[in-house]
Amino acid sequence: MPESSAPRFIRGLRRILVGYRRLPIKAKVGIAILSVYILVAIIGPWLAPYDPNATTTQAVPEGPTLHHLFGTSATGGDVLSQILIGTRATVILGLATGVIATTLSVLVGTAAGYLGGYADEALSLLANIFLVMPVLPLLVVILGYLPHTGEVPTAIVLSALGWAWGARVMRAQTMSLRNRDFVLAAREVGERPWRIIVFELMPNQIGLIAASFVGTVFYAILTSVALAFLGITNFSDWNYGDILYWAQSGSAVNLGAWWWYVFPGVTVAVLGMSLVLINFGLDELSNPRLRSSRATRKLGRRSWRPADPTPVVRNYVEGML
Amino acid sequence: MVPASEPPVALATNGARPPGPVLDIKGLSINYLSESGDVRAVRDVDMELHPGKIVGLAGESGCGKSTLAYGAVRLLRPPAIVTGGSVTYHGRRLAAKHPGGFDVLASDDAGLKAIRWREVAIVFQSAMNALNPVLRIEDQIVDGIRAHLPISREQAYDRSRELIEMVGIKQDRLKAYPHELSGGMRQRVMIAMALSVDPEVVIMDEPTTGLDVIVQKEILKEVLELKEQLGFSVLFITHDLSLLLEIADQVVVMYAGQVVEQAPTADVRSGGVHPYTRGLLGSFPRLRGPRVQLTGIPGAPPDLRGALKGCPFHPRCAFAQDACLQIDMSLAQVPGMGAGHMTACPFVAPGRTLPEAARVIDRATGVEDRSVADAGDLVLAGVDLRKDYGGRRGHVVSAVKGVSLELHRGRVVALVGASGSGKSTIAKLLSGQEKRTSGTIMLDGKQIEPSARRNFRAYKSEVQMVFQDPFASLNPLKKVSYHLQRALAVHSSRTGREPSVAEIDRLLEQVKLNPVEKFRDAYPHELSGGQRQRVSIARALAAEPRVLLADEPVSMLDVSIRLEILDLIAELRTNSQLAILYITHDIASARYFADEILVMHQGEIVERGPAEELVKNPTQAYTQLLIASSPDPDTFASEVPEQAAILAREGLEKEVASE
Repeated sequence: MPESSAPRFIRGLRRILVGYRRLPIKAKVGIAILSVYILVAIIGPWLAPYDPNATTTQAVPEGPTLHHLFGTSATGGDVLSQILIGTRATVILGLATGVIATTLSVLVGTAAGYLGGYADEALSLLANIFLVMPVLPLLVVILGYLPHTGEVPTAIVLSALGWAWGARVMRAQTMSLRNRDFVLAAREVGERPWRIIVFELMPNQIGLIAASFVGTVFYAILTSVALAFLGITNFSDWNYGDILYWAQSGSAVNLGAWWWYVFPGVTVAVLGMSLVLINFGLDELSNPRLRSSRATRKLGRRSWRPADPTPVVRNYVEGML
Repeated sequence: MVPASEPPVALATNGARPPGPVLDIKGLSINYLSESGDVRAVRDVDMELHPGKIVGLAGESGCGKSTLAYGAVRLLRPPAIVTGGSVTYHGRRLAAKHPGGFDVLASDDAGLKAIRWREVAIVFQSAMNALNPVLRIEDQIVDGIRAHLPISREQAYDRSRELIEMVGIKQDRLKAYPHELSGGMRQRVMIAMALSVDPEVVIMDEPTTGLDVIVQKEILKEVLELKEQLGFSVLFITHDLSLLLEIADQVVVMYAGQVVEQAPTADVRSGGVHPYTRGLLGSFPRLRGPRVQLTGIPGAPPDLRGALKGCPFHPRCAFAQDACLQIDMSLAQVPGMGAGHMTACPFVAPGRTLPEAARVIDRATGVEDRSVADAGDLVLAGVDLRKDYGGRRGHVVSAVKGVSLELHRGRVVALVGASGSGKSTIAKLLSGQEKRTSGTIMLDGKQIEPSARRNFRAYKSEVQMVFQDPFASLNPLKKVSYHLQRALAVHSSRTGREPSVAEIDRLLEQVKLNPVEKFRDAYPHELSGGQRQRVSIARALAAEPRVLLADEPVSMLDVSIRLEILDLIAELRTNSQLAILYITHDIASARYFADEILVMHQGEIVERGPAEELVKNPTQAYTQLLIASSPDPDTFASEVPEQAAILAREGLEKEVASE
């Protein structure tokens, strides 16, 4: 029924908004910035004023002008257009890696933590092996060998090499939860282990899973940019690393063409910062201790530090502070 | 700096005290600011603490007793604010500087720093959290002393040795880290630290909660002796009124942020006059005298947001009348009682009896029968159960050393012991939560392996456990209905009951959570501790088990509602003929409703027998000690028998030696 579904939709939207408002300020800023990137990833190709691959006969990069706000590359490609179009590949790669790697780490980590014994030994060993692998050289070798087919294979390889840290964290958290009374009580009811893991444990780890996801996205984006910079990328498509690669191979620094590497560099840095801010915010949500450290409270015109003596407010009327 | 010739610590009186209280609280009000309305936790409270006296502050959790004590020395953080009243400290050392007394509420941070610890010290409830885990206790004591007294490090170490002996710990334990000490010893260290700079007032916030009765008794005796010796005064906060009757000079009973009765301890021991005080006293099962049906205090405390009209206790009061809504809750002298016996209830008269006179439920009266002779069928038995922890590398700790017990239909067996005695481990072994090292478990005379995967569900449909902590045993993210629905679904093939709303409602009604509509869709955090424990019991009943293992089911609850839960379990015994194992550290509650008592000590059953019999004539020294140490409102400072006292001292020595 449209009558009932519309209010429910609005109610859901309102709940999201209320939840957003309660977030720590760091997370709010981070989410706002990330939203811009996601929006650009969706509509960037239509916003781009020029064809990023366009070449002119000019032989020098052109500085920022009204026509080319972020300047051009040595071959006359518009840097702004390259960034706007490249956002999609970078964001998709980051999110895809986040989803795959987090799923892997949650499954392996929670199972190892809950099951214990030999299952734990085996899964922990697996995670530890992946942890000590030299990731970047391996990536260079594997991706250099694979045919360049786009973001998905890269995401899979990045996930395969990047899930282990999250799994260790999930395992530790699960081990602290598994002996909580409500988990024992679920066993007492007679629930199967997989049900306890999925329905009792995981919902209580949402904060940690979210933080792990954000951290993995951060790792994936930085790594993919680094790889592209080294030339291990799919050149038929644009992403942030490609721009930096061309800037480097086009001797942008020697030419003094700062716009060629500063604009894409700052774009990557701001994206990374938004993810770090979200992670800090999530940390504060899940760890009340971090919150209390900033718990100076304003009472009237004064703010109170946690170590101050209890305020005395005479002639107090409820709601006046 | 002090010249070396002076004594290390200025323990001597320097200044005469004006007559009157050492701590004088008048009209103190404290609010917790909140977006959904301020919680007015302390409302216009007057209280005096006289030098050398112990004032006991009692009441249910949330009654404002801790807020009052911490607020009076301004240790609460915002959102707590003091909204009115005065707190005056009259110390000997400050008499010259502050002839009219030190005004705590007008003082600034620096002024308060001079008062805290030096004049007013605190012993916190959780000694593990109050001590720094990475520092030796010696250094912690010395740091505390040197923060308040200008003395040298060597002098401070001398003082720390003096202090630690004073609280009954050997000097060589000073080098220990907090985790190397037992709970009782940590609390003694806290007391030593509190007394380190000779304060005049010591606030003790539930200092013995979580300790075993035997250790509790030892520490309370210690406090009384030290008080005689050093002359400080104590503000003793506890939910356990019976404990106050043993040590306090005066008792202050709080309810809903207000004082409802304050009286010399002797007057309270004889029953008190306020219906709430009587209710609290009536909530403690007794160890002596006839076994009576206790009533407890039905209902829950009011919401403390906003104003309260009249007496806040009237919805739970057996004597409530319309006029209760008009009274102003000011304290008045009780006619016919000694001076200083004040109450807020204007309708009391000495000698008024409760409408339902205490019902004696001993065998002789025929009200309720319980004896070993007419035991029902044997359902579950553990034979020679043993559980070792550790192994592989490191040394083995035996938590349970060959324990046998039998659970019969329609009977309650109580397993009584101190923490660490292995009693909870037995519940876990019997429930299949943990694998035993050796021994047999028999269900209906047949040997069974509870923890084996193929048996687990079938076994769970016969044997269910209720956990100790009602705040932890429900998944905080799931509704009440989810918990019950899952339990019904898992066992529906055996019970033949569908996991339907009707069945959920039936379970809620069985544990008296009415109206069911209200509780069905509630989340655990919206329920009180007692209500949560009922949900836990309902969940256990969904499997329609024949055995219920109740692991300290009421120890985390307020005394006033413990009885309701115990009565509910007793009802399951009678009506559903469940075989029940009741695990507790409180032998009085075991006497109250168990048929048989097993006393456990260091992994072994030291004595077993019919409940009444065992409590009346304990034969083993440990049982005697346990009974003598249990706080009992009826007997003041009951003497510990000689043999038991020796055992206690040996236990303490062993504690020191083993750690």
